[in-house]
Amino acid sequence: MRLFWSTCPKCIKAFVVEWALRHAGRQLICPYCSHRYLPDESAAIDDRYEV
Amino acid sequence: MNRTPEAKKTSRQAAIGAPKSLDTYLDLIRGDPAEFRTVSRTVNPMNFDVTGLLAQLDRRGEYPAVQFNNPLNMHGEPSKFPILTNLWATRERCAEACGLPRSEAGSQLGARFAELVGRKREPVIVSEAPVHANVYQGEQADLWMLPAVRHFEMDLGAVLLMGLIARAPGENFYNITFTKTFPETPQKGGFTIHTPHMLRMTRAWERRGERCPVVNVLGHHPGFWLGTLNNTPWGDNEYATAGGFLQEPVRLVPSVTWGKDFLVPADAEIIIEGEIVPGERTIVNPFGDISRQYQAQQLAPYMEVTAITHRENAVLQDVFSGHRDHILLGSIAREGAIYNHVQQKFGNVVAVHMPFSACGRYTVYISIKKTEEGQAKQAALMALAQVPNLHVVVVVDEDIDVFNEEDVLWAVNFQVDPRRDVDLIKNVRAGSDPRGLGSSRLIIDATRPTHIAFPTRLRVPEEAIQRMKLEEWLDSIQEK
Repeated sequence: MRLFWSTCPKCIKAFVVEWALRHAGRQLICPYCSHRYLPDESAAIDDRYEV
Repeated sequence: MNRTPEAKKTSRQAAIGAPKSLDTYLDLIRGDPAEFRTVSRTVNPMNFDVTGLLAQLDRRGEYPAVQFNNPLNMHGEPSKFPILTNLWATRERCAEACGLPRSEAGSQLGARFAELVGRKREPVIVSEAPVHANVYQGEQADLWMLPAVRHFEMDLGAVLLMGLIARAPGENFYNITFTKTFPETPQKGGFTIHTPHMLRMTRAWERRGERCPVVNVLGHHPGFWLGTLNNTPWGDNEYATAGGFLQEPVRLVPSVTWGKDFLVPADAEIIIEGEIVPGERTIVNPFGDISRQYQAQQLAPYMEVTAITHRENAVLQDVFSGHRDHILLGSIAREGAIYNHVQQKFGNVVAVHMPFSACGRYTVYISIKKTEEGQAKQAALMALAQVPNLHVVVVVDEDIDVFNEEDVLWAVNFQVDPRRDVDLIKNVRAGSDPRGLGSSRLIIDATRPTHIAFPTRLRVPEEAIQRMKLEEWLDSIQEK
């Protein structure tokens, strides 16, 4: 299963997200501070993937 | 006001001959502090108070069931529902729930499970039910009145664990599967489904564009739950399978929302009735799951709550995810399924164990009475077919105790030539869990080779071990 890590732009903590949400146009919800934001607004994204 | 366990006990004293419920089971263990502990101080389950205490017990190697008598609910107010958790954290309690003595919690337990799967008891329908003692509908049906537990630091929020019940449109059999519901609002809960039958049912409703009736059961006799963990064929009524494990018919009652069109367990603790909204999705996860990793944030279906019902003095049951409580809940069922499957084909299985080290899901140790080369690999392939998420299968001889991991790893180290005895199975369906390990599986034949001259394991004669009784031969310890 392909995953990526998103770093919340508000609290700067990272959490794990299914790849299907990377470009789905849906807001993520930070589990630490409940901030809602689009993946492209992440403070950082780790989407390395082994083909 | 804080309630004492004694007060609750008096109010819920189970009558002799009463239908099996969580309460009738708890009566068996309430008096034993090694098996059942209570917490009367107020706890906030949203702030890890529950799992913090359980994690400490786990570090000490102690696994009692724990009842938190005064938790806060999701509104931050005192809840009227105690939380019961860690119920399945020992094989002995699971044995007891299956009607076995505690002394038969080893390989007998998997075999007992396999036996009970075939002893279905058709449910009976009753008109009045303890679970309908209190009924909430409309805005009164408030998920947040429950003391849902947030388990791990990266979890999206509190979850309601335990079973979801559904049936396919036009069918009269029910499927019951463990799931988790995130109470996003007081009337809406997103949830994930991980079993094929439940997925098939919910998708069938969605294809018709219709709302799928579902019921979340938040507490019942442990035998009821163990009976729902089987990988039964499509068409089997899992109420009947659960009845086999309870050794009495499950009592069903028409639901508040759909009446006789959807029957619910009469002796459950708390029931949430709801409908999955077709085509709609919401955000759920992360959630710390069985592999002790987090399931990634994802889109998932959600239900809109139509009713909540509960018995008098109901208890909310929870599971300590990723720990023994959760591991045993599924591993014993799978041990039984593998035992049944391989034994029916070959008749040479001695014991099956899915160890804690692989979270009771991803590795299985099988001991067999091998009579010719190749049998170990055949048994392993059958296990992989039976339990799709298995990652590693190790097959050993009957003299290796599969419940003793040191024993199994001795066989791997001293009877396995990797070039000859290890097989990599490629291009198997990838698991839907968070491990991210792809689609290959590993088979290790750790049985002693019989086709070549090969060393054997050293052994003190059993007769000598039995003869040299410690209390007779060791000098008594002199006090200084």
